[in-house]
Amino acid sequence: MTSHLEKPRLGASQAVDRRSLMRLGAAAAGAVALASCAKENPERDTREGGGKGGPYDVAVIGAGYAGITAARDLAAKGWRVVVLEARPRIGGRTFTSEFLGRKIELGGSSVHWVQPHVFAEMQRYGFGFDEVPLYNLDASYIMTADGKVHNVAPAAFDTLYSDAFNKFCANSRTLFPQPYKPFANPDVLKIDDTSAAAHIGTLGLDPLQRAALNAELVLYAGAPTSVFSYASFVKLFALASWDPFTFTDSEKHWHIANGGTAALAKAILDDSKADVRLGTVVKEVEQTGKGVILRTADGQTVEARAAVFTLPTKVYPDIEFKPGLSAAKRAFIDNAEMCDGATMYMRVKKNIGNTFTFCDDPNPLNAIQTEEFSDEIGTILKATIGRQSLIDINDKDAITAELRKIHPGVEVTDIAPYNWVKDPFSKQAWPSYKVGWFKKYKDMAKSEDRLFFAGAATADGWHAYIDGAVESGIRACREVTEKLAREDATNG
Amino acid sequence: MDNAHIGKFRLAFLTGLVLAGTAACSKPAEENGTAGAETSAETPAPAPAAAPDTYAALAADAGQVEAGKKLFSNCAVCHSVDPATPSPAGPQLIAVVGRQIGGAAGFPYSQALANAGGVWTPEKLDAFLKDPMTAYPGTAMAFGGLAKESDRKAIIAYLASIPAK
Repeated sequence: MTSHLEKPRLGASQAVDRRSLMRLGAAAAGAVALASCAKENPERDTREGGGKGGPYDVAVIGAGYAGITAARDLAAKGWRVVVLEARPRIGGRTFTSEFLGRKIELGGSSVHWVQPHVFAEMQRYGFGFDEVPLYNLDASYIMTADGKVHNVAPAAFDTLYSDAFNKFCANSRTLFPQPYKPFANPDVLKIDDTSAAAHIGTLGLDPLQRAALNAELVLYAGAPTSVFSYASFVKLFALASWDPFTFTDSEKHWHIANGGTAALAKAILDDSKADVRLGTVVKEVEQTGKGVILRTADGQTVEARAAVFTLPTKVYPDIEFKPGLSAAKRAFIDNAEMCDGATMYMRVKKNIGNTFTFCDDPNPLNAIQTEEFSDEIGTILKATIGRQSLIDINDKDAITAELRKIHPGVEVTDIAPYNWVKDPFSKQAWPSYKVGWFKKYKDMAKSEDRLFFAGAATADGWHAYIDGAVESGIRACREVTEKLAREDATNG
Repeated sequence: MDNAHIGKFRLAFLTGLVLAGTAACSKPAEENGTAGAETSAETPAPAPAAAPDTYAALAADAGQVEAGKKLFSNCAVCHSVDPATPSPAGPQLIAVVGRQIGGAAGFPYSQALANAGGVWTPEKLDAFLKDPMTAYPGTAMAFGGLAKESDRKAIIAYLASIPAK
């Protein structure tokens, strides 16, 4: 370790900080030319790790929030880092895009000050919050499983939903006295086979309550709630200080300002000064006595002393590991996750005001939230879809038909969907645990000799959120550093 | 990032692509020719099966072009058709009809498209947009496909109507 610490990086980092902040200022002023070649995506540049190049101490696979956090922290420790990203962009399962001239977030989007890791990154790089209109609703609706729509006045909606939600999470303080140590109460291990649907069935809810609550939980599950781990959701609630207002505020109310998730990701990665290779698909990983050899789809070979894998769980089968991953990890990869989710924005010609709608499974648009409304623009809606396989999200007519069940006669003029399941580098949307598999998430997080594992699904805390990804990247850096420093000490 | 840092690795991972020089900073004007034009220096493949007047006919159908423009919001999540706007994720699609497959300068294509060969004809675009993974297995395009033929036709007409600027 000492041999790497002799290269102080503080001055360089500070310079990058200032540069990043200046870029942000420029972006806020409307100048899009973040990169020298602004023709294509500014998030797509390669860089050379301060001119060091290889050989590398650590290869980080995946430039989502877990990977870029790990890369930044590892580089700060003095390790030589390369980041290999399959997509042509960074950000992983966050994706800031544009729709009708506005910035939109098509992946992980909501952040909050009760999410300590991502909030710290926002503070570090000077990012504020953008508010989404969620409160002071003009109208709210609940679509029950049979497709019938109920126009429920916002005050009544709030009361009935809060009551159902509070009942669902009622045991959270007992079950999760220390949310970051989720099995501190061993009872959690015993109830991991309880599905969200089974627990809902015990609560004595009326049909509208049941529909609204189930719609919310389908979103987290990305699957029917009958296969979704009840306890894993209650852990998230416990993380929001066991408070329903705080929980809802944390999940639906605030986005990252100043360029969104993409700009924050860029600030973090810029700070790393790591080498970054985009469009680089790792196909094979070989561990030797001294290091790791990575082989890519386009014929590159990258060698490092250790590798940090940050991939969505369902992508691991596309990589050949030599030797193979542990049986426990393979079992988790094959069974634990199922999220069939997607996100879309749409513009409706008419100004329908500030609305919120829950649609219960198997209706596809489980939550529909007004993002913007005026007589000039009409209404910009964001729909979050738990099960994209229930609808063709690229078919505007199909989307229009769904929306007309709630708002008869509306004209959908434009849609902007993103299907995380069809993305070959995620194959699933956000992390969610199947019944019986929440208790095994540490199997996925556990290192295997020179391979280390991060990603939101491995987080102790906010596992379905950007925050969990950042948390996992911090942990991976610590584990890698311990391993390599120990090795350096042994080798003198 | 800084200009000086761009060249080395981009070239390394673009090896095997048919690209002219260090294309990373080429101007949009240097992209392949306008719809229906002769193949440029960057598209050494022989003329496509579809005749140039097929593109012209598509691009001239104002109704189709307008319908395609509305539907393009589906694609605009990743792709830009404006030289002044960076693509959020995919390659830019200015004058893509008639362009070499895998031929947008500086874009890190999947091997599936990088090695596909040939140019984008309306027929090939139709197959790709219908079911990307079947048309080019291994493509990195994160898109489930457009099931309706009428949607695909309109979008291809719109794309054919966008000239290189």
